[in-house]
Amino acid sequence: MTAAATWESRIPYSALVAGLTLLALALCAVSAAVGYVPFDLGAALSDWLAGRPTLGALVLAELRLPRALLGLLVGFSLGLTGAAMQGWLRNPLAEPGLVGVSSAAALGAVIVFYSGLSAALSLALPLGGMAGAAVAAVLLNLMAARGAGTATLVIGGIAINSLAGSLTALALNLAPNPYAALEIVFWLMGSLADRGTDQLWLVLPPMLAGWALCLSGARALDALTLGEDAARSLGFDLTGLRVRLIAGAALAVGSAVSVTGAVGFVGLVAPHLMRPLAGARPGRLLLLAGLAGACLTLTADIAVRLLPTRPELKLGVVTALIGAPFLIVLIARLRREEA
Amino acid sequence: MRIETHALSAKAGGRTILTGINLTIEPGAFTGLIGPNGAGKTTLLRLLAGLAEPAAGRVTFDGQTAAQTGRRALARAVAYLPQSGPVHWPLRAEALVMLGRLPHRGPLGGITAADRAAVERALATADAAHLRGRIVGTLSGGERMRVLLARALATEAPVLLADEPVAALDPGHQLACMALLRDTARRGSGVVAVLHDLTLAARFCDRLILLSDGGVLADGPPGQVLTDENLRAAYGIAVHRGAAGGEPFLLPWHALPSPSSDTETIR
Repeated sequence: MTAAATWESRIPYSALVAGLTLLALALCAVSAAVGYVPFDLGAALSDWLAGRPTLGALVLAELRLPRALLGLLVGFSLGLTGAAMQGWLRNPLAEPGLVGVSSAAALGAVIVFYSGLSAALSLALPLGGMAGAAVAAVLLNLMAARGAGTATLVIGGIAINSLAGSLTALALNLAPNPYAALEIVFWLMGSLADRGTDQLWLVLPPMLAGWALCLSGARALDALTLGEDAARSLGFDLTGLRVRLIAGAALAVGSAVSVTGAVGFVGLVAPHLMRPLAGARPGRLLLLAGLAGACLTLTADIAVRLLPTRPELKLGVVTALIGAPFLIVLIARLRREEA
Repeated sequence: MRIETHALSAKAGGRTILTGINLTIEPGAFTGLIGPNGAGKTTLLRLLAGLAEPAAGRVTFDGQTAAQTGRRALARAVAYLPQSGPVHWPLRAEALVMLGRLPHRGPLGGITAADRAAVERALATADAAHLRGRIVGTLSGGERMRVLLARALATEAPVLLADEPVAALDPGHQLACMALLRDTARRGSGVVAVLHDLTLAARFCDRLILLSDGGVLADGPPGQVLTDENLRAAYGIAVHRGAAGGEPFLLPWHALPSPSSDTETIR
């Protein structure tokens, strides 16, 4: 084991949760204060709370706050489901992206784009994403129900992932005009820019349901540390756990991807950052990884607005730029631990 | 808790593993489950733990099936220690042992004083208290098995089922582990362990169940089970017998030619 595995924090769990929650809320406030137009957050907030329809209040309520809150929700969803998938598959490289849920959601949204439904109905895009994630969830559950082991499930998930990826590429290939293809490509890069309250209200219920489903598996995930037979002998229904976790990941990540596009690596990185602080307990990791995911996503979204590049960098590009080197370091460390 | 099997059969991949098994596991006894590789020992142990569905027949726990008993009640009654005991995350030993308390905890309830006390007892019994702060992956094979055993003991279930608990241990730890399992039975639990070491099985177990060809070849006190005839039939071996300090012992000595090659020699 490396030093990282042995420096378990002695910070109490409740203090960790409280600290990360405060940090996430603070980042939300910073996110709301950062933007391209000069903006007085305090004045806008008081105007908005007093119901004065000033420009500041409008910008806050219709643009800044939805963007910040969506960052919080999407990041929490990615971190939480990443931790749930890693615990369930007992694989430190698992995340919703790996098992195909994210790319299936992206495909669903792209199909809606492509068919022109998104022009007719603004909510068609998120609904398409959720439908895509649901298809991936059903496929994963069918594979697992036929008795596939975790290794087979990971391989099956990768197959779903690449199938959805190639169908997305096919849609781009057959796009009626270059402009439509470009629009899809940009959307796929992931962004929180110009999202409104409509999207916020649409994704909130499925996300909350997904979170509840994932968090309900905490104890069973702890027990799975000892393997499937031991977990079952400790009184856990692993079939029920599987259905809850896959459904929870599809609800939370499907709605996240359908609103922001693909924001990669948060689901992979957040659990790894928090694992030492959780004493490696998969159940405790869930909430911590969710909060860390929210902080990472909000930070990245603040960064894209502070960086002087124009047009603004896509959120998914920034998270991948940070996440990919992290993944390489992680793999190197795992190899050292095995050696 | 009394576990009974009634005309139990098990299949895996279309092949029959066990047929017509009728057994009763009583509290207070240390039972060794022995037999050659592939005889169905692990399959039988998983059936006794309610982890597998029999192809025919049934297993009852105090007269009730696993479904009637209920998942959580069964988990509190039967502790199961799987073979080689995987540990997938770098948990500390204490946190790992606490997992044995999961069947006692409510869906939202935290760790209670009773849970902590049970973990302390289990750590002390398994001689693992000094390992509590260690990360499981850094432990030696003997230390790791003691921690895993403490995890199973922490449930404080009336029945303990252990699959090859001494397989990876050095002789000193094997003796300590067998004594620990016997003492657990002395305190009133029913203990069943899959064993390969006949010498240890004969010395420490109250009862041996010898499986061969998917059935029970012999069942009873070690002296009645480990006869030359049974050992030849089940394992194809001859043993060397002796006595130390008034206790009889046996050592597997040499493999016998298999019956089929026997007949060929006669012809």
